[in-house]
Amino acid sequence: MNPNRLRAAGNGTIAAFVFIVLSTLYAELNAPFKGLLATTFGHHWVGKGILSIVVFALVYYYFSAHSSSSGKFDSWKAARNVGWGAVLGGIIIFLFYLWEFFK
Amino acid sequence: MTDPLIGVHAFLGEMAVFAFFWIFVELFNPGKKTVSRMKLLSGIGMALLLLSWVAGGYYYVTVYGSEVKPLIKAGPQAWAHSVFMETKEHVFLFLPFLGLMVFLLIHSAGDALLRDRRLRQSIQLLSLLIVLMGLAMAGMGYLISTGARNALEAGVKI
Repeated sequence: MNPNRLRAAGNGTIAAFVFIVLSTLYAELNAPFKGLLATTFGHHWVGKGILSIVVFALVYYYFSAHSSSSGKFDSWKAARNVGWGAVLGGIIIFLFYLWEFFK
Repeated sequence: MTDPLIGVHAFLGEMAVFAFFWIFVELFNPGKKTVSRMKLLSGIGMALLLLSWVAGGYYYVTVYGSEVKPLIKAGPQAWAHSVFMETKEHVFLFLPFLGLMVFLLIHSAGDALLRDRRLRQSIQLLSLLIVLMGLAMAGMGYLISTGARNALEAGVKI
């Protein structure tokens, strides 16, 4: 796999994390959006899962097709960014539901 | 009776954790057969994460929402669903993407895996994250099960 595609996979992963976090929070704060996900995909959670794959695929395709950089791929930087994305996303989701429970 | 799909979901998830933990440990001291073993293990780990997603998701959509969620929410530990199940079901979605990154890094590296320490550390970082998040999933699963059991013990009926 060439460096552009690995970079694209890292960006796609981070974009999928951002989508999961934002769609989770927005669906809890906006009932019609949650309802739309549920009616379209059978369940709001299924909708978030399928759409996160779509987001990953679109971002992966965009960066693989449009990136002109063919320099060395920095695996550590990609892993660090993806790792921080997962940790921060997880903390945001947990704190949001904690806040929702106690408010 | 406890739905067997919970056991299948947990088993597949824990096996995935073992696969990525193996990757994490072996990359400290790679040998001649490491590359082929890492390719196999990352494929197995990725497949196990996807199967765990399907098994847990099917149970969540068909059984949990109608039978277990109302029980927990009416019981003494409503937070088990409202905080931990909600967090678990959404944070779980991160895991297949992390698994895919490990899979792609290993499969694109080839023999560079033996020479490039920084690349090995990158894969180890993501593998360790999968292990820790997988263990957190198991811990949250325990809290959710406890919430359901305590609701039953408290006499909650739905």
